[in-house]
Amino acid sequence: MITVWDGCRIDSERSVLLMIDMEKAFVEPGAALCIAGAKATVPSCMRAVKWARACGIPVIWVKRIYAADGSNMEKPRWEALQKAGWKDVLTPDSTGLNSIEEPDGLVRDPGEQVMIKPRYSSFFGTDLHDQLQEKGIDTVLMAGTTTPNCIRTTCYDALSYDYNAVVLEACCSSRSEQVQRANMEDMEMVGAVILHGEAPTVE
Amino acid sequence: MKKKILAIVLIAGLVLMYGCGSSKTDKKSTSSKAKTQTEESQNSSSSSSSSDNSSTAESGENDPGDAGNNDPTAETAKNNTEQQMEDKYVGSWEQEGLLMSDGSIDDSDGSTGSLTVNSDGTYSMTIKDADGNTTDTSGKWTINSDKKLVVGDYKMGIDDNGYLLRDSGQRDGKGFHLYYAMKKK
Repeated sequence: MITVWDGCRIDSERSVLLMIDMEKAFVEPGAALCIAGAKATVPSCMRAVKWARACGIPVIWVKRIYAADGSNMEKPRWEALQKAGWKDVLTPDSTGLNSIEEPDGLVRDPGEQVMIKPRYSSFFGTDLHDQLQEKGIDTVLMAGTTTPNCIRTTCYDALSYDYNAVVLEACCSSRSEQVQRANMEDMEMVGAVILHGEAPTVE
Repeated sequence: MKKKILAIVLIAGLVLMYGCGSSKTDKKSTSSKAKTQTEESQNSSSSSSSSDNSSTAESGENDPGDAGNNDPTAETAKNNTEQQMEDKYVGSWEQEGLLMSDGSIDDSDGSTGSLTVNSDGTYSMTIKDADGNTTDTSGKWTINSDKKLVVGDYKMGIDDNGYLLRDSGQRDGKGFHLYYAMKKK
């Protein structure tokens, strides 16, 4: 099935939607690692997920879970968490605002895959590439937070693996508008397709 | 007696001297006059030449560097080129599908289109989009400076495979713009 979003033809049989790091600890206001613009994108993310489901595009929920000893995160991030004295942030046992659960308003289907990544990129330290190759996927749609970190690194790795890299702009967030705009421009410059606006209505 | 002879010699000398001096002055004057006349002649010639050049440039005649300007065959060649360009577009075109970046044609979206370009300068076009909406248009066609056929809001060129390409407003996952390809019947 071919669907068109912002003029871009998307073949549902060869595409996947990665919903990246949409977890309470990154999204909900007041959470330890809250990204300023993330909460506002939840409705757009939910709409994109519904559109993907209707088109038959698989959705993979890519998440971070921090080990208590910091062994599965970037060293600067671990040091920052230590310095701030934050504990129980994004650990398997975290609850409430700092948990790995989806933010309010964004609902994952029980049957949809969750993939845990140990670094910014969804491809780093995961078997994502192998999975996509097995399924004959050639187009990676990206949504989530934050644009300059996990979206961008995933985008560049997708391009490195010769996937069509498609970024859903309305479903991504940064700590400021300037950062968001600059990163979208950079990704477009290197060959990613940036889709503007909301997901199309699917009957 | 000696004084008389001396006086005669002196007078004769003075007469000779005067005669020679007068002759030199005349020569100098004549030379100067001749020189002046030569300069005037040159100026006049230059002016005349300039005037001639100007005349030639304006008329465009007899200028080997610009031989084509008034060459009737050049006009004919130009007309022939325009005619050939028009001949390429005149005819009936039928949409085969969306031309993908790998050169394949994808007709899976259900869109159709037909275009008739008439030699009298008129056209008629029928397009059915992927949602099933049909649009009929007609009017005058032109060829723009890019040698593309202008039909309504569309500017369509012909690719190496003979397809008349109409912008679909779509792109693929790599960002390539995609065109509907029409083939001449």
